Amino acid sequence: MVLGLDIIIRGTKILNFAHGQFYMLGAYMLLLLFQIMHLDFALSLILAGLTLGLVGAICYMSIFHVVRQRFTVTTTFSYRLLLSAMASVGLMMILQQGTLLLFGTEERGVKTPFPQMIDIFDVRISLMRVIVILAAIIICLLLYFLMYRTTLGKILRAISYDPEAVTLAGINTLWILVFCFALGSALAGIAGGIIAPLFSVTPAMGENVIFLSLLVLLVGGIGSYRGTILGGLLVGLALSFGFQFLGGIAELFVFLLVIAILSFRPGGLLGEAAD
Amino acid sequence: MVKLPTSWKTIHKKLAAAVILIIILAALPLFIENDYIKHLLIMACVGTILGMSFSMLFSTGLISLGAGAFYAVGAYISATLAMNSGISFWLAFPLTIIIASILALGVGAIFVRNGGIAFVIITLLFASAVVIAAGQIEFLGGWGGIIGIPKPTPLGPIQFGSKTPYYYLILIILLLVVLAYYALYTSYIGRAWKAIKLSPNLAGTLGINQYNYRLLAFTIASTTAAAAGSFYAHYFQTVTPGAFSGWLSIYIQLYAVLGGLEFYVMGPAVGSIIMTFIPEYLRIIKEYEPIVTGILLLLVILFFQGGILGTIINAAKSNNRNNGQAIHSIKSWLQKNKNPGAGER
Amino acid sequence: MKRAALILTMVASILASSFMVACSPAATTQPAAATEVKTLNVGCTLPFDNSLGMDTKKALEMIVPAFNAAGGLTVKGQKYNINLIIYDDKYTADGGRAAVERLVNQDKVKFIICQVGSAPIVAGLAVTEPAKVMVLCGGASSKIIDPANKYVFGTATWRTNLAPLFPLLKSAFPNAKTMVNLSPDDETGKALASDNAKIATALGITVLDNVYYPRSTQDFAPFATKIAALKPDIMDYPGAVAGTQFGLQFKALYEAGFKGAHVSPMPPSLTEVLAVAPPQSMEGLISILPSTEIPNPSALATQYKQDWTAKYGSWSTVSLTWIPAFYAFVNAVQKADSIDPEVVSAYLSANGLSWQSPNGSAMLVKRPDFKNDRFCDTCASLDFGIFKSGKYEYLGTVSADDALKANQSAFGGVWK
Repeated sequence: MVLGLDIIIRGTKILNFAHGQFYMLGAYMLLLLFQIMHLDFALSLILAGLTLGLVGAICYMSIFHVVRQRFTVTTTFSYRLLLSAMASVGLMMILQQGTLLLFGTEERGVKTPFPQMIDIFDVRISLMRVIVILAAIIICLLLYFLMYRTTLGKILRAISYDPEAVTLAGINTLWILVFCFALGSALAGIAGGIIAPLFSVTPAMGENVIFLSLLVLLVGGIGSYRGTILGGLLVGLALSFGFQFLGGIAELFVFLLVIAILSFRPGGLLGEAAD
Repeated sequence: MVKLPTSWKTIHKKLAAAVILIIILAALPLFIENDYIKHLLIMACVGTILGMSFSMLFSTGLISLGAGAFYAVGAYISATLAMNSGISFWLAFPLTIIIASILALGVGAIFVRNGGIAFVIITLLFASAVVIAAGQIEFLGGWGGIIGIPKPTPLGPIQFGSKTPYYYLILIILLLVVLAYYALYTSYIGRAWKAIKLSPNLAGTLGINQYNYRLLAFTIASTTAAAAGSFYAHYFQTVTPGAFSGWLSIYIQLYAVLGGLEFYVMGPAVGSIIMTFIPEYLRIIKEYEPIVTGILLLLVILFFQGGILGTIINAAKSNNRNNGQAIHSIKSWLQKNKNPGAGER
Repeated sequence: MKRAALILTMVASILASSFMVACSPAATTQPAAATEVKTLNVGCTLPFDNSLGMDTKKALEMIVPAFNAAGGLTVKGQKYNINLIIYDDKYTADGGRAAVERLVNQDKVKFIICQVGSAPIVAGLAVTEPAKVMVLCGGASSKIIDPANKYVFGTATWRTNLAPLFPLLKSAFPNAKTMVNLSPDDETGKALASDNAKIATALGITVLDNVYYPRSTQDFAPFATKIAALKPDIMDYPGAVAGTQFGLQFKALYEAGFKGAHVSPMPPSLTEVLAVAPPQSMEGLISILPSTEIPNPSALATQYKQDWTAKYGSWSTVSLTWIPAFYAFVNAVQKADSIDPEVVSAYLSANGLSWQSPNGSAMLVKRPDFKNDRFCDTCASLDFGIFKSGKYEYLGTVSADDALKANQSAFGGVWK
C-alpha cells in the first residue's frame, strides 16, 4: 500500500489522496471475485490488482495527465503539486460515494480462505496473517528487483530525478508515468484485497488508511524504497506496542515521535530531503 | 496577483471597488431575513479567512495542510479560557491570538525546515495529532468535546442573540485580516515571499533568508487561522475534535484553489462561498451530493486553471485574440480525448 | 469582453441559483389528501454513509407514509400529515450543525426526531434549544440529558439498559468472577465502561482491566492478545458499534484463545458480524435481542418486519434501533394535543410519556443522578438473548417498569 503511494509520489510527483480509495476498491474487487464469483483466492487477488492498475491508468490519463498538460515551464513546483493533489481529492470524493451507492452502506467481510491457526512458541497466530506477511515480503522483493535490476526500474528512478532528461534520452515519459501510477494503484488494490479477509470491507476503509500511509512514508523518507519498508515496520510496531502499554494516547506519541525524527532528519530516516 | 498600484488612478479604482464591496457586505443582513443563509454567510467568511491563511503560506511556496490544526488550536484555547477562567470572548480572542502565535512560532521553527511534499505531509500529520490530543486529553473535553461555550458578552446595546451581530463581528475580523494581509503583501516582506516562491535559490543570493521569511509567514497564517477558530468556538458554542479532521484542512485549500491562487483575498472568498453554498444547494439530491461536488471540483481544476477568478480575468485579457481560456481548454481536452488510447472517460 | 461577461454571468447565475434554491423549501411537500388536512414538517438528520443512518432512513421512509395513510395526526380536531425532511449530518458535529441550521431556519421545522449520532445531536442543540425546537433523539451521550437543556428528550435506551442486563448475566453465568471491558476510546465508550464497571462490581464481578481502542481500529490482534493473557470469565463491550468492527473483536479474541462469555447491550448486526467472524467466536454472547426476533413478537413488531421485507427485501435488525423516537413523537403530540413544541415539551417534562413501538413499550424517566428532574430519558422493555451454537436463543424480557426499578437501585434517586 505505502510502497504504491511512494512510487506514485516519487515517480509522478502527485500527492494522491485517492490512493486510499484504490485500496478500498481493491478490497471490494476481491469481495466480488472471491466471495461472490467464487474464483480462486490468488487469482482474485491478481485480478483485483490488474483491475486497479487499469483504473489507475484511466484516472491518470483522464485527470492527472490533463492537469499536467496545463503546466508551463514557469509553473512552480508547489503549484503543480497542489493542483494534482486537489484533483485527487475530487477523484476521491467520486470514488468514495460511488462505491457507497454501488455496494450499499452494509459493511462486508471476506471469508478467510485459510482459517487454520498455528502456534509459534506459544503465540497463536492465524495462518491468514502469516500469509499476508509472506505476501508482503514477496511483493517487496519483486519490487526491489524491478526497481534496481531492470531497465524499467532505472528509467523509473531516473524520471523521478529529472523527467526532462529522460525525455531527451528518447524515452516516452508519458507511458512511463502512466505505468508508475498504474503500478502504484495496483499495489494499493492488492494490499486492499489481501487485507480483506483479515479485516472488514467498508466504504470508509480507504479514508482511515491514507493518513497512516502518509505517516509511514514520511518516517522512512519519500523516495527511499528501503526507508518505506523500515518506516512501515517502525510505525506498525510503535503503534501496537504503544496501544498495549499506553492506550489510545499512543497515537499521539507516534505523531510526536515522527515530528521529532523529522526535525533531526528532514528527509526521513533513509531519504534525502525532498523539495 | 496583488500588484502594486501603478498610478493614483488605479488606487482610486481599487479603493472605490473595495468600499462598494464593503457597503454591499455590510448591508446584506438588511435584505436577508433567513437565518440559515446568514449562517452560511458567516461560515463562508470563516472559510475565507482560513483560505487566506493558506494562500499566505502558499505565497512563499509552501503548501500547508495544517491550517485546520491552528483553527482547532484557536478554538480550543478560546473555549478552555472561556470555560475555565470565565473570561469573555472579548478577552479570550486577543489572548488566543497571542498564545497561538507563540505556539505557531515554536512549531513552525521545526516544520519550516522541511520543504515540498514533506512539509505538506508533516502539517497534515500535525493536524491529525491536534485532533487526537484534543480527543485524548480529558481537560480538553475528550472526544465529546466542550459544550456550552458562552456567547460573546453584550457589547453596549448589541446582544449576541441572533445571527446578525455574529455576521458583523466576523465581517470586521475579516476586514482587519484583509487589511493586515494587504499591508504585508505590498510591503518588502510580501515581495520577499514572492521571490522565495519563484526561486528559493535566487532569493537566497539576494540576501533573503528563506527560513526566516517562511517562518514569519507560517506564524502569521497560523495565528489568523487561530483567530478564526476562536470566533468559531464562540459562535458554535460547541467544539468537538471530530470537527477538525484532516479533511477540513484539505477543504480549506480547496477554497483557495477554486477561487484562484493568485488572488490572495478574492480567491479564497469566491472559493469559500462556492464550497459553502453549492453542497448546501445540492442537499436536495441527498446521497449523490459528494459525487456531484467531486465532479464539479475536477472540472474546475481541469478547465479553470488559475481558479475561477483567474479564468475570468484571463478571458477578459485575451478576449481580443478570441481565446477564452476555459473554452479553449475544454475544446483541446475534447480533441485529445478523441485520440485513440487517451483513456475511456 | 464578451467571453469574460459570459463566464461572469455563468458564475453569477450559479451563485444566484444556489442562493435561490437554498432559500426555497427543500423537500417536495406532500399534496394534501383532503382540503382540511394540513402538513406538519418534521426534521431529521442521519448519517448517509453508514448502515445506521441509511437503514433508519429507509425505515422512516416506510413508516411515515404508512402513518399518514392511516389517518395521520389529529390535534385539536385538525388532521395533519407528517412531512419528514431528512438531511445528511455526515455523523459529525459540523455536518449535524449545518443540517439542523437548515431544518430550523430554512424549513422552519418545530420538531426534530430520530437522530442517531451523539456528535451531530449535541452540536445541533446549540441551535434547537434557543429556537425552542423540540428534539426526540437517539445517541448515547449523557450531554443529551444535561439539565441545562429544556427541549430535548433521549428516546434510546443506551443510558438505562445496563442495570437490567447484568443480573441476567449473573444468573446465566453464576460462576463468572472476572471481566474485562473493551471500549472505543471516545467519550461514549469511556462513560459506558465506567457505568458497566460500577454495576458489575456491585454484583461481585471484578473488573480486571478497561481496554480502549481508537475508533477506526480494524486490527484487534494486539488488544486480544493482551486480554487473553488476563484470562477473564466475561468480555464486555461498552459502546461497541454494531457492524463489522464488533465481529473483528470477536474474531481476534477467538483467535487469541479467549473462551469465556461475552456481554453487550448493543445487539450486533448479525449479517455484518458473521461476514467477518466465525459463529463459534460469538458463542456465549448475551445481548439485547431485537424485538422482532423473540418467540412471540408483538403485533407491531411482526407488522413492521413484514412491511420492511415486502418493501426492501432483506431484513435489517439495525433499522429497528432508532425509530422509537417517531412513535414517541406521535404519541407526545397527541397526548399534549398541540403542535406547539413549547407546549409539548412542557407537557412531557412534567408528566412523562408511555408509548408502544415495534421495539416494545417504553416510557420517559427522570434522571436525578444527573440532577435532571424533568422527564428526559427513556426506560424501555428489553428482550435479551444468548448466542448459542450458531444462533440466538431467547433468554427473557424485562418490562419497562422492571428496567426502571433496576436503574433506580443501581444509580439511586426516584426516576418517576
